[in-house]
Formats: sequence, structure tokens, C-alpha cells
Amino acid sequence: MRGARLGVVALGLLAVPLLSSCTGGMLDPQSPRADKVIVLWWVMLGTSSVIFVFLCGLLLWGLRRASRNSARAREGQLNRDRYLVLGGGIALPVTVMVVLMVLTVWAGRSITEAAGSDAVTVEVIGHQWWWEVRYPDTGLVTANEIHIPSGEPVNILLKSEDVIHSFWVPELSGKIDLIPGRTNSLIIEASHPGEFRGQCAEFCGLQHAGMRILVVAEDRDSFDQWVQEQGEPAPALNPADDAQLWEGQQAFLGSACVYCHTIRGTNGSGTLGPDLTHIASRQRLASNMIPNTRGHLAGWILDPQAVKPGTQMPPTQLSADQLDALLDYLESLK
Amino acid sequence: MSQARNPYEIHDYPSRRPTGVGPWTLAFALFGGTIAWTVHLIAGYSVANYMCGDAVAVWILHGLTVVALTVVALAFLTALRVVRHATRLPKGERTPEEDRDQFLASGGLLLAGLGFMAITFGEVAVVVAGCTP
Amino acid sequence: MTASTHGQPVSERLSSLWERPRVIDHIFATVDHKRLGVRYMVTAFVFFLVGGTLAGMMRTQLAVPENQFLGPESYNRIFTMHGTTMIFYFATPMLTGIATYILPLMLGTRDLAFPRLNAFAYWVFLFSGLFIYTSFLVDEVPDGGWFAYVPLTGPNYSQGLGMDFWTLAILFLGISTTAAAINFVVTILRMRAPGMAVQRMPLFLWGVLDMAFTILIALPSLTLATLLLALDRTFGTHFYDPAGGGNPLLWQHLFWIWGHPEVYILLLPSLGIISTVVTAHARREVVMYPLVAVASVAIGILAFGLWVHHMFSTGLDLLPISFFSAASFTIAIPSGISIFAWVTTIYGGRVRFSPAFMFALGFIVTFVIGGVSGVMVAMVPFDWQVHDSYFVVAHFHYVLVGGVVFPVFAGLYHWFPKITGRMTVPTLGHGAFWLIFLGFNITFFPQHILGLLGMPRRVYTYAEGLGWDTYNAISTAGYVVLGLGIIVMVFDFLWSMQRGEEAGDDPWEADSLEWATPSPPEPYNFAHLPIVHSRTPMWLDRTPERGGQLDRIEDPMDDGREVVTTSVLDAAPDAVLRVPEPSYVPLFAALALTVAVVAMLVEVYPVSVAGIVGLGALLAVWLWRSPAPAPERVNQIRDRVHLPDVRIAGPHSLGRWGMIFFIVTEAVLFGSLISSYFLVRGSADEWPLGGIAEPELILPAILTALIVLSSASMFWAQRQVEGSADRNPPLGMLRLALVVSLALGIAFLSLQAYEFHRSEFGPSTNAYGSLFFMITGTHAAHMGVGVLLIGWTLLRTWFVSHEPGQRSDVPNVALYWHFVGVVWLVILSVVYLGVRGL
Repeated sequence: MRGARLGVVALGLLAVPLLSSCTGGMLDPQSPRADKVIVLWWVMLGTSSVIFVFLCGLLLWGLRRASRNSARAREGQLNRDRYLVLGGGIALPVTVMVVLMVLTVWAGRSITEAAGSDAVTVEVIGHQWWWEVRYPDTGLVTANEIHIPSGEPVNILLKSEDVIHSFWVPELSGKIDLIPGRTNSLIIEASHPGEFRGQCAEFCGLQHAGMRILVVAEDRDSFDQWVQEQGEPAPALNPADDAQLWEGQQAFLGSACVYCHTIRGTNGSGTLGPDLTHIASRQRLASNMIPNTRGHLAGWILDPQAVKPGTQMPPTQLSADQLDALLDYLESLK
Repeated sequence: MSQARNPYEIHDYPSRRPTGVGPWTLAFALFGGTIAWTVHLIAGYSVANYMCGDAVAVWILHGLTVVALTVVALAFLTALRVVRHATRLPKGERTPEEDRDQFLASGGLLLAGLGFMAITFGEVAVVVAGCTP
Repeated sequence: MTASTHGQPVSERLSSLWERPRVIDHIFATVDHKRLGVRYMVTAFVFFLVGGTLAGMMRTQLAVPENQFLGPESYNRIFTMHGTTMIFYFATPMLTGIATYILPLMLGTRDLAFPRLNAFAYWVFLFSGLFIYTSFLVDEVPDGGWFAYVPLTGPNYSQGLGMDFWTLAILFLGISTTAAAINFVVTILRMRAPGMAVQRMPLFLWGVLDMAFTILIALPSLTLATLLLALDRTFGTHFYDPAGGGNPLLWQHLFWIWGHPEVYILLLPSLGIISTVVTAHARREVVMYPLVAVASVAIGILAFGLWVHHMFSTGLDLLPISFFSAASFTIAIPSGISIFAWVTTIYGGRVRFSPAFMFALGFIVTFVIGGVSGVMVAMVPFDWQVHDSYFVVAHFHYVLVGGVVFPVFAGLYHWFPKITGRMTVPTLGHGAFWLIFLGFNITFFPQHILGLLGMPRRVYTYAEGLGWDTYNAISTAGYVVLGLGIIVMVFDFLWSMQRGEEAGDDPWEADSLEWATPSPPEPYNFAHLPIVHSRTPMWLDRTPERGGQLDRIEDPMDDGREVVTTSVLDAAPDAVLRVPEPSYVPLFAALALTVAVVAMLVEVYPVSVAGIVGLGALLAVWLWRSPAPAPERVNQIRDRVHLPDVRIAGPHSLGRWGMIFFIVTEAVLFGSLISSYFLVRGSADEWPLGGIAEPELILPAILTALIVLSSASMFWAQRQVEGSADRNPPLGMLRLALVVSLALGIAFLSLQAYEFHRSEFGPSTNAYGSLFFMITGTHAAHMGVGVLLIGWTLLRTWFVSHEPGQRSDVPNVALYWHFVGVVWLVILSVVYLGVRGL
């Protein structure tokens, strides 16, 4: 049957360029733990391909014979039938499955191996639709951007304030859900400094697609320095010296912003939205939807629904001067 | 019209002789392996989920495996015996009930085999992953 | 042609019995499985086209990054309705439709076991589908995903009617699915042609039987899950609410205990279709029949050990979830057996490359890909990566499109000549196949890679520069090809229905009994019911000794709408039954139920109650009289055609079997409820929660006494009936026994109501209260139904006379009553005694 053969060949040809051009994601692991998964993947892909090709080959060869078979050719087939079904249907899967079962549990155990007691712990709390990030050891609070030291396993504790979310940074590790009423844990480890993107993997409502996260791995010194900087409150302002920044701070405290956001060192202590004490140090805004530039920040403050439809942040009415001052102020919060 | 035809000839049933295999034997041959697996899965999952950390848990799991595999083996042997018994005569001389017994007991062989695999896979998990909290 | 017992030619006589002359009766009152089967198929196909259109909108939105075609709200609604439509309103009903049409023909009988129930199931399915789609008209479309995870779908995070539409529609549809499943099980077990013993059943029948059993055991879990969600949403209970002590994971457990077997519910009859098509078109019986038949049973059983497979990333520990990995790996073995059996059959067959066969080939190739990616996602560490990513989307579309849609199309092409009497156009069929096959692979293969690259499911948009753009564009292009293929296929069907070549009875020279009937079949299917002697009667039974014809029951069975029932294992004839007449009651019952459901949606509860009462009244009318042949007629058949064991129905009646399988599914419902209790209790710090006192034991002790006594008096009633096979039971004693049972039942309900009334906590106090009232309340509702049934039976003792030995209402109601009593003992030990740690 020529048509069938062509179809299968076409399918195979389609697969080769598609697979060979893959980069990024879990195929490009940057972590000793994600590495193990990728070993599993290649073993399984290899085995599966062999089985698939064998079966298709058998089918095509059979079809070629079967379109010529006469009724008489069927005699004496019973033994061959039996070998094929028992061999292919029982012996083959049993062998493969035994190997895979051992591999999967072994890999699972080494991935979930506990980190040392001195490992950094990060608490990640899911909200519709952003990530609250806390460092219980140092009391740091930030959002949507997790800094970790590279080359060490880090404990991630996962909780949720509202619905179920799922934490997934494919280059570093598989995903674990954030479930209200439960604390889950996950260990991630970046083998070298770098930035790794991820996003919420469990459907969590309107902006499920806009709930993205960034993991920044840096060497231990930079990480310690980052911790120290993030621990500082926002600088106290003096209206005489920094008139513009002070205006901005007043705009923040005098508008709806303050109901939801905290800036440590000021009276702003809302907790519904991300902590903004060091907002200017973060790379992106709106749970990593847009770059953290002055223009984007302005657009986000004035009309968040245009950037991220459904977000719980309301639009803010500000005069041009107020906005200008507010932007200056926020950009000063390194 | 078929007034003269013998009813046995018309629809094969009931047969001339009993099969010699009781309904409970047949039921055990067919479903024994499956039941063992079901119990192993549910009990194993519960012990692993709620008791791991207790030193005795891992031994309960091993014990479960031993018991389940014994039941599977018994089911398999029973099925094998039924198949042997049902096929002791050459093909043309078997009654439809013997064909039926052979069919059901062969099914029992497969189901027991699958139960064996699933239970063994579970035991592999216990050995490799261990039962630590 | 044999003359009928009534002096008319048989075909005329049978036609007049099996078909009503008025068109309006055909439309609204028919109980003919062929008409209903076609309706199921057409309705399900329309839902398929709608669901496919929704998929097209999603693919359009995702074709390019940052697309503005759909906003998040529309996108969420569309993917929710796409999944819901395809699973609930296309796949299950389509297979139900094919089975409804084919089963009686393949079994060599004249209709399903419960024809009116079949009509009812169809109407409920139709109304449920229309109901959920009215959500578009009122702009309150479900948007929580077809899996509806709580808390997102709970009262706090999903306002509006959207998810209420969803929960009610699913509950509503569940009635239809359960009814169809009971019908299939009883039909296959009891209505096979004489001689079609278990070892001779066509593989399609095995597939449908496994499907129906799996539905009965799996579906109660979904019913319970959606019921609890509806209560949480509407009445403020706390089953899933962590703040009230509930457990959001309970939803996932309940949903997937149904959800994973559901895949196999769809797959098993599909595998059966493939076996049928391979047999007919490779002109050879599928090799190693016992292994393949039992593999299908094994898949249905193992399917229940896989549900946690969907919960690997919920943070459960490695060892517990590895047990489910083990079951997932094991299921590869029976699947492998089936695949290799088909390939081997083809290998040694003489193949006819018809469109049906092409779809079967397409199935094998696609399903193998879906199977191996299924093994991959059963590997826990790999699943942690790809779970909820596009890899999984690709995987289950390979399984569901490859494993279900392709077989459905194969089946439609295969049985089209039987259903319409005309052949399809081969060129169009092949064209459609290649477009669909290639289009499908172009759409879904790249989605594997998208998942590996990190694209999660259910996102309405994605950023540029992640390497996802090309694959998404290819995928969307594939959708267009696939859609073209569907259009060609629909055109082929429509055109051939009118103008195709005449098919004749048996265009494929196939093996099974449906091909022994004319195309399309007569309303009564077979003028003479066939008797079979082999697995492939059309090939092996038509020997020269039998004049080249199938063996058959010589009596045309035309004294009323008669059929023969046979024994479960060996298919030995054991009774003659009459199939009920066409009736408007199923339609009205479905309408009453619809009224109740719509009123629940808008929270007008008096109307809901009225709808339920109407439904109950209609059911009482429905079951008031069952047709049965007169004893003389049974003797006549026994003598004339040598069915030596044929008896009057009585305990052999199909109703008894229907009741048994109804009780099976009810038992699973209570089992799920009790398991939910333990799951919530297991995650609680104290029990009962929130300082509620442990329940007192005096009242439950009295309740237990009442229920045990009532069971005893029902047993007494049962003895009056069953102890007298050839005479009528003493009616006085029977009535007394029924009245005593009724009084005890009412006393139970009154006391229970008193207990509820004086309780210090309510269903919305916390999760303990919710569960306590749910468990005892569900049981009380069953008691209420039982009381009504006993009352109904009592009434019938005055108004309905039975032939001796034919009174089956009392034993059936007694069976139900004993079951409800046993459930009470379980509840007593769990909810009342167990809470004390006794």
C-alpha cells in the first residue's frame, strides 16, 4: 500500500527537523536535577522510536503481503501469529517496563533528595496572578523574581492564597502545585549563574497565561549582596532635598496604590499586591509580562487592564505631574 | 420445519456432560489475580501515604507484596489447572462448556500475569524509593 | 417464507407489530434502537462539529504570539466548552449511538433490554446538551476548564452562572450515561443469540460490555464530585473549602477516579470497532481471540488503578505515587497485546483497502504514538516536567483522536452501508482519510515539542521569542487540513446517503450477525431470530448442511413484540419476553427532569420539586405494567421449537438484572462518599471539626432497629411472591408485609428528620457538618425513594393482576430496600461509631 507507506515516511520526515531544532525548555537543562529527567527522556525517546519504527515496518510489510495473500496462504500461520502476539504484546512491553520502572523510581528519588540543613529556603506564595516571594531566614519579601545562589540546592516552599497554581521553571526542575491549605516543597538547583524563566502551569483563571516567574541564579557573593540590598527599607525622603521624589512618594501614599502595596520605610503597607520596596531592582513588571521601563511602568499604572486583561490591579487616575513624580520615585527604589 | 431435530443439536446447550469445574473455582481462576492487585494497590498506597516514617511501614509493604503474590500464584495455578482439564480431549470432542471454561481460565492466566506485573512493579518502587517520610 | 402463527406473512405481521404508522410517533415515541442510535450519532456529530469549531478558534488565537483575536475570558470559555463538548457530548454519546444501533443486530435480537430507557437516555442527553449550550445565549459560559478544579470553580473564585451550568449539565447527563450503561450490560449479558456463549462473543461486544461496566463503576465518582461542587457553590457547604476544613484535593481524587477510566470508557468500544473493521476488511478473524477479549477486560480493570497518575505534581510523596506509575506501566501490556494482534491479523489477512480500513490503520499508527507518550508521562520525574504542558495536550489528543475519533470514523464508514443501504464513494473516503490523518499529525505532533519547550496548557497567549512561534503556526495550519478532511467526509456521507450505490445485505462479506439483515434493517431486525455456533457465524455457520443459511429459531416469535433471553455465560435460551411498545412517557420524563434542572439553575426550587415529582409520577406510570407473554404462549414456544429451558420471565426478567446493576452503581456512589469522608478526616487536625460533639448513639440505635425490622418484613413479602412459582401469592399476607415495611420506613425517616432538626450544627457549619449531612441525607433520600417504591408496589397489589410467577416488582423493590439497609449499617459504623475511634 503505497499511500500508507508515504504517510508514515512523511510523518517520520516531519519529526526529524522538528526534534533536532529544539532548544530551551526542559530539553536544555541547567540543573543537575533537571539533567536526570533529560536522560530519562532520551532513553524513552530512543526506545519508543525503535518500537514505533518496528511496528510500522511490520504493518507495512504485512500490508504488502496481505494485499497479495490468497485464502490458502493462511494455513500454518498459527505459530507465527502466536510468537508475534506473545513476543510483541507481552515480552516486549514487560522488558521495557521493568527497565523504565527502575529508572523512574531511581530518578525520582535522586531528584527529591533533601537539601542540606544550611540550604537557602524560599517561600513562594501564589496569588491570582502573581508570585509572592519570601525568604524566611532573612525576612525578605519580594515578588515575581526569585534570586538563588547558583551551585547549591535551594528549598522552595509552595503555598497558595487563593486557587491552585503550579510552579514550573523547566530548565531547572519539574513542577509542583501550590495548593491552598497545603505546603508543598520542591528543591531546585542551578548549575551556574543565569536567568531562567517559568510560568504558572495550573490553570488559575483569567490571567493564567500572564503569571510568569523569573529565577535569577547568581554566585554566592552576588546573592549575599542582593539579600543585603533587598533587606534595606526605602530611603527616608526629605521634601526639601528631593522634592520630586517626595512628590512621588506622596502620590503613592495619596492614591489607591497604598491599599494593596507595601513600600517598607513608608506608611504604605498593603498586602494584596506585590511588595514594591525594591521595585526598580526587578527586571520586569506585571508578573514578568512587560519590561520594567519607565514607559511600561506608566502604562501599567494608568491602565493595567490594557496590559493584562482581568488583573486585579485597578487603574489609577493621576495628573501628568503626579505621574511623572511617581515614576521618578518608583524608579529610585533600587 | 425442524420438528424432528434434537434440541441439543439446535443450540449445543445444555451439554451431555458436566465440566467438572465449579463456578467458584472458575471465578477465582478468572479474578483472583485482579483482586490481589486491587488490594495491594489500595493498601499499599494507604500505608505509603499515611504510615511512612514508621519503621514498620516498609515491612508491612513487603508483607503485602508477599501475600498478594501468593494469591496471584494460586489464581494462576487454578486457571492453569482449569485450562488443562478443559482441553484434555482433542478439539472435536470438547463440549461448548469446556470451550467456555478454557476461554475464561485463559483470561484468568492473563489477568493473573498482569496482577503479578503490577504488584512486582509496586514492590520495585518500595525497594528503590524506600519508605521514608 | 414461513407463515406466521397469525395467518399473515411473517414480514407483514412483524412490521405491523414493530412499527407505528404515524410519523409523529416515530419522532417522539419511538423506542426503536435503530432510530435512536442514528439520532445519537447525528446529535453527537453535530456536537463534534461545534467542538471542532471551538478548537479552530483556539488555534487561530494561538497561531501567532500576543494575538488579540480572543481575550482571556473568551479563550477560557472556549477551551472549557471544547473539552466538555468533545468528551461529554461527542465521544461518549457517539459510541453510545453506535452501540445502540449495532448491539441488537450483532447480538441477533430485536431491541435493547430496556427500549424505553434507551429513548429516555437519548432525550436526556439531547436536553443536557441544549441546556449547557444555552449558556452562550445568556453569556454565562462555563470557564473553569472541563476538569473544573476547585477552588477556582468554587463559590469564591467563580461568580455567575457559568460553572452552575456546567455542574448541572454534567449531573443531568450522568443520568443518561448510567441508563445507557445499564441497558448495554443487561442487553449483552442476557439477550445474545442462543449459542453466542462468552467464548463466541464478537470483540465489539466485549468492548461495549467493558465500557458499560467501567461507566457503572467510574461515573458515580464524577456524579458525587459535581454534586458536592454544586452544593458548595449554592448552599455554602465546605467539602472543598480549606477554610472550612474541606480539602481541594478531594475534587481531584473524585474527578480522576472517574476521569482516568473515562479515557478507557471511550477507548474500549473503539478497540472493539477496530477489531470488527480489521476482521471484516482483512477478511480474517482477529488472532488469539481469548487474549484480545480478556485484554480489553484487563484494560477496563487496570484503568481504575491510574487516577493518581493525574496528580503527580500535587506534592504527594514519591512512593505512594509510584504505585500508580506501576499500574500505568502494566496497562501497556494488554494494549500491546491488542495492537500486535491486529498487526498480526493484517499480516496474514487478505486486505481490502476501504476507507474504514484506512481509518483502522490510521488508528494503529496514531495510537502507538499516544501509547508510548503515555508511558512517558507515567514516569513520575518526566511527568513533573511535562504535566499540564502542551506535551500532555499532544499526548491525549493522540490517544483520544487517534484512539477514539479514528475508530469512530472507521465504524461509521464500515456500518454506513448497513445503516443507509448505500455505499460511500471510495475516492472521497480515501481523500477524507488522508486529509484527516495528515492534518491531525501536523496539528498535534508539534505540540509535543511545544510542551518540551515549556509551553503550559490553557494559556490564551504567549510571548514572542521563546521558540514557540513556528510550532504554533504549524499546528494551526494542520488544523486547516484536518478541517478540510472533515468537510470532505461529511460531504461523502450526505452525498452517498442520497446517491450512493445500493449496498445489498452484506457488501463487506463480514462475519457478524448484523450483516444477515437487509440494509437498512427491518424494524424487527430479524424475521427469525438466529442461533449461532461459532464466533464468526456469517463465515462458519452457513454450512451446506444448514442450506447455506444461519441456524435459526423456527418460530417467528410474532405473538406480540417477542424476543428470547439467554443465560449469561453460555447463552442458552431461558425465557421469552415481550419488548415494550413505543411510548411518549420517556420524552415527558426527560422534559420533567429538564424543568427541574433549569429551575435549579435559576434557584426556583418549588419548580424543581415539581419537576422531580412529575418525573416520579411518570416513572410510576412507565413501570405500572410490563408486557409479558401469556403462559400458554411460553409453553407453545417451548414445545414448538425445542427451547427446553424457556420459562416465564419472573425472576429471569431483565428488570431484576437492571436493578442489580443499578445497585452496583449506587454502591459505588456510597463508597465514594464514605471515602471522601475519610479523605477529609485524614487531612483534619481534630475530628469532628470545630468542637462539634460526637454524635449520640441512642437515636441511631433505634434507627438501626427500624431498618433491620423493615428489611425483615420486606424479606417476608418477597417470600410470599417467590415461594410460589405456579400460583398467585396470598395477597393479604403480601399487603400486610408491605404495609409493615412501609410503616417502619416512614418511622425511620421521621426519626431521622427529628435528628436533623435538633442538631446543633448544619451542613454549612464546616466540612464535618457538610459530610455528616451529605452522607446521612443521601441515605435518607434513598430511604425516601424506597418508601415510595414500596407504596407503589402496595398499590399495584390491588390494581395490577399478574400471571402466576410473574410478579417481579416485589423482589426488585425488596432488593433495593435490603441494599439501602446495608448502606445504613456501613454509615452507622463509619459516621456514628467510627468517629469514637471504636
